[in-house]
Amino acid sequence: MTIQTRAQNIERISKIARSVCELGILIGIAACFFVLYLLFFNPMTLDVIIRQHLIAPQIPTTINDVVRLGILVVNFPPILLAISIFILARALFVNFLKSEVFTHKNAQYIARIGWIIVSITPIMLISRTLNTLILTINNPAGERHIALSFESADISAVIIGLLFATLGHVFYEAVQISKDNEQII
Amino acid sequence: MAITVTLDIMLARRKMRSKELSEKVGISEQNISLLKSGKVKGIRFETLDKICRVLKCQPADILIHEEDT
Repeated sequence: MTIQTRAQNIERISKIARSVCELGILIGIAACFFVLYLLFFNPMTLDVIIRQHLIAPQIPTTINDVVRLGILVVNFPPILLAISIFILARALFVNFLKSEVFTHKNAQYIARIGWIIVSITPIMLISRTLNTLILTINNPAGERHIALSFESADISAVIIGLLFATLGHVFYEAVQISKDNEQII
Repeated sequence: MAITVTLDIMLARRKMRSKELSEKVGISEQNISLLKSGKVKGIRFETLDKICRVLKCQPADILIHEEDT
C-alpha cells in the first residue's frame, strides 16, 4: 500500500467518523432538549419513560416535580460526558482530515477519551443507585429502595477506557520520539 | 549544548557553499543551516561520514566539545 493510498484511506475513514461523531453530538443535545421539553410540557410522558427505563417495574415509585428534577440532575452528567467523548473524537478526526495525524494534541485527545470512558462507569453506578433512591424516597416507610447494580458492560467500559488512555500516553511518547528524530540529520 | 559545530569554518577553508555541500551530501540546505547553527539534536554517522568525505576532513574538524561553564 502506497503512502498516497494510506492517506486516502485515512481521509475516507476520518470523514465518516467525523460525521458519526457530529450525529452523536446532535442526538445527545437533542435528547437533552427533548427531556427538558417533556419536563415542562408533558411530564406524564416523562414519568412513563422514567418508570420504564430507570427502575425495575415491580418497584413502586412516587414521582412529583422534585423527583423529576432530581432524576434529571442525577442522569445528566453521564449524558454530558458521552457528548464530550463525541466532541473530542470529532476534533481528533478533523485533525486527521487536516493531515495532522501524528501530533501531541491528538495523543491528548485519545488519552482524554479513555479517561472519560473510565470515569463514566462509577458515575453511571452512582446514577443508577440514586435513581432507585430518588424514585422511592416519597414512598411510605418500608417501601423505599436503594439498589446497587453492576453490569458486565461496566467492566468492559473500564477496560476499553484504560486501553484508550494507555494508547494515548504511548502515542504521546511516540510523537515526542518522532519529533526528536526529525531533529537528527 | 556542549558540542559546538564548526562546519562554517570548514566550509570557508574548502571554499564551498552550503548549497553545494547539501547537494553533494544529499540533505536539504535547511538541515545544513540547522547543523551550522547547532540547532539539531544529533547527527547520524552516515551523514557525518558523507560530510567528512566531501570536505576531506575529520569529525573533530567540525565537532568540538566544550565544557559547560
